[in-house]
Amino acid sequence: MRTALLLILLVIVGGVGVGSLIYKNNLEDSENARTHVLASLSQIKHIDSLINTQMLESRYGLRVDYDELAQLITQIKREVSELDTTLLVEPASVDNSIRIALDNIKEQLTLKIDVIENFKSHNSVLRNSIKYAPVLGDSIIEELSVTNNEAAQDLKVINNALYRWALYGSKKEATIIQDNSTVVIDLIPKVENSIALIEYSTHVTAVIEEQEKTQRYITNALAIPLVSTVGQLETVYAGYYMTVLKSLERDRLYVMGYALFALLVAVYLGVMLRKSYQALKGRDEYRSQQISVAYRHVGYADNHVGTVKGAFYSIKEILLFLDGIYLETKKQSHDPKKMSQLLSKAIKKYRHLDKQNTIDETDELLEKSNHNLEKASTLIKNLMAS
Amino acid sequence: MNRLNILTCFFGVFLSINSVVAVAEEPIKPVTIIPYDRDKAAIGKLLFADVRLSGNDSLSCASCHILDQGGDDNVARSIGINGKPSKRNSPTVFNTGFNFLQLWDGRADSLEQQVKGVITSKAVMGMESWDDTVEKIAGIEQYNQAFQEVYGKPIEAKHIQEVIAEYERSLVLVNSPFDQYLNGDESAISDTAKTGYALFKSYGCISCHQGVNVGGNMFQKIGVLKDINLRDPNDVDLGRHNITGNEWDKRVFKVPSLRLVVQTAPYFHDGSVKTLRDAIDIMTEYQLGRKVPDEHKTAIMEFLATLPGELPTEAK
Repeated sequence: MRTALLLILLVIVGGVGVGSLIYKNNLEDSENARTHVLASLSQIKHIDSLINTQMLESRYGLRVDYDELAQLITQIKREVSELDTTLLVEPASVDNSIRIALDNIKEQLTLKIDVIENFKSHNSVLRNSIKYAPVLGDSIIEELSVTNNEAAQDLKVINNALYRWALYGSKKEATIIQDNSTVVIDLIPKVENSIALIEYSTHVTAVIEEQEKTQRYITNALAIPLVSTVGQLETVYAGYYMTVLKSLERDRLYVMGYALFALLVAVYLGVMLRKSYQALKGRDEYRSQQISVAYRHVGYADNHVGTVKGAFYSIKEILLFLDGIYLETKKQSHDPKKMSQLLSKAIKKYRHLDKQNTIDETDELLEKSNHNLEKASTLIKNLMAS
Repeated sequence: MNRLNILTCFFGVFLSINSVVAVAEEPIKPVTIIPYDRDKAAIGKLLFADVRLSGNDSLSCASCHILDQGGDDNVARSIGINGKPSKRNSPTVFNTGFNFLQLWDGRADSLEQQVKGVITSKAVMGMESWDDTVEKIAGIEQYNQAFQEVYGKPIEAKHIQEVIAEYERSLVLVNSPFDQYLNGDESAISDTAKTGYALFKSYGCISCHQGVNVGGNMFQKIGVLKDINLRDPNDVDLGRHNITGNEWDKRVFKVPSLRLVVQTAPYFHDGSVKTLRDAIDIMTEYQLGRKVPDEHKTAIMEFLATLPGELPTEAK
């Protein structure tokens, strides 16, 4: 009974303990995952802004290599990949809206990287031509100013615009270059050093085309809604996290309910145990009492049996005496006086041996003893049966 | 309030000037060691030279990336397991850790992915699958024990890929004469090499071949300013287009690093150009729209010869 109670208590307390532990771990896991996800999302946005800055710096010649830009792209790809892994491990992966938002980020990132790689390629060509074309233009203008000053002045317009564009990159210069590009082509058949002019034309064309393209790539890259898709995931994830919190709150209530139930069961079991103990104690006292009564009856029976046993000894002695009387009587059968004396002696002896008249009461004593033993036996049987 | 505005303006101007000065540094940076796991690299080193990593036990990574010959095999296109030349030229294995993507078309995001693709490529190493590769390597007690010590669990495909990639990351050549020059030692390179570097920048080679690895951080179309078909109409390799399917990616390839260029002839994705002088000629004509005089090419070549560094002792 006691072991069973302890076992029940152990199950209850263990249940509450395990429940609390699972709740605590789930809460910690969810919080860790949330921190990780939010940190990743924040990092993605941060890297994205750095990428945008780097693109603009590269576009205007303030950055002379692409190492850092390439590293940022590697980093952002890694962040998205790790985010994917985190969300896959989490049950969040089953949340379709999160999956869709994450896929959206990946899609936008792939698009953006594609645009950036194109930008890098075209920007390199642009940087090369924008650096070289004005220098080449100067040497052509110098040559032309001797033979064809008008043409030289026409070239100056475009060449100065190239310089200014190289310095400031304004749209006005780009328009001037574009509007005057035909001047160069028209000049080719008219000059002696046509090779240099063809080369110049190639680079001016490259500047026009590539500046348009790079501008478009920058605009496209900045327009790709990577940050807003990250924001979408943040929103969706916040919603998901609220459901996780609600679910955890429900778990917490379950654990608390279970703990309360366990407490009630424990109190109930305590009361029952106390009652059971009191009943056991009362029964024990009753049994002790009954055993003592039975023992007393056994004692009575034992006394009676002892008395009867004494009577039997007296009878035995009387019989032995009577045996002796009989032998003497046989000898003195012819002497009535002697016979009378012997008889008187025998009666005296009998009375002496049975002073308490027990011999006559033997049957009664045995009957009493039996009665006491029966009583004791009944008590014991009852106790055993209870 | 006005003072505050003036101060803010000055601060802004100072910052702008500072940033302009900061970024107006040399477009080539000295090589620094890439952090790597030495225990993993030690296993990777063994696997790199182990022919058992190929389908018929005839090729190892080192067969096409010969470390004492510039990290490539100096042939136009490497011979694969089937005895046929592969599609493209094998690039050097040195300094590949700096590349933004791996392989000519950039289809491998990392060195691990590059290893993953090459080992099971039917044209290169020819292993049936990664399951087979793992089974084969796990059957070799030496590797089994080494991987167990490093990873504490049975060998997996990603472990094999990682150890080889870690070894490749250790293959960084440092302290080249040019890096010493960049670090302030004016006497580290000759005057001709300095002129070569100036020409390298002024001709515009630098617009693509820049950064630590003098390339390897962007894609470029081959034939930017002149149609490349004029050079070789038989070259039908469309490069990155084969991976992305994008029209604008036709004939686009990863810009190779020039760090080991003087030791890694022949050149280009198909190994079709035998000498560095020819490569400079083609590049300046088709990519830069320029004709370069011979003496300039000589100077540029002398500059390029100052780029290779040496393998650090701990990576040998």
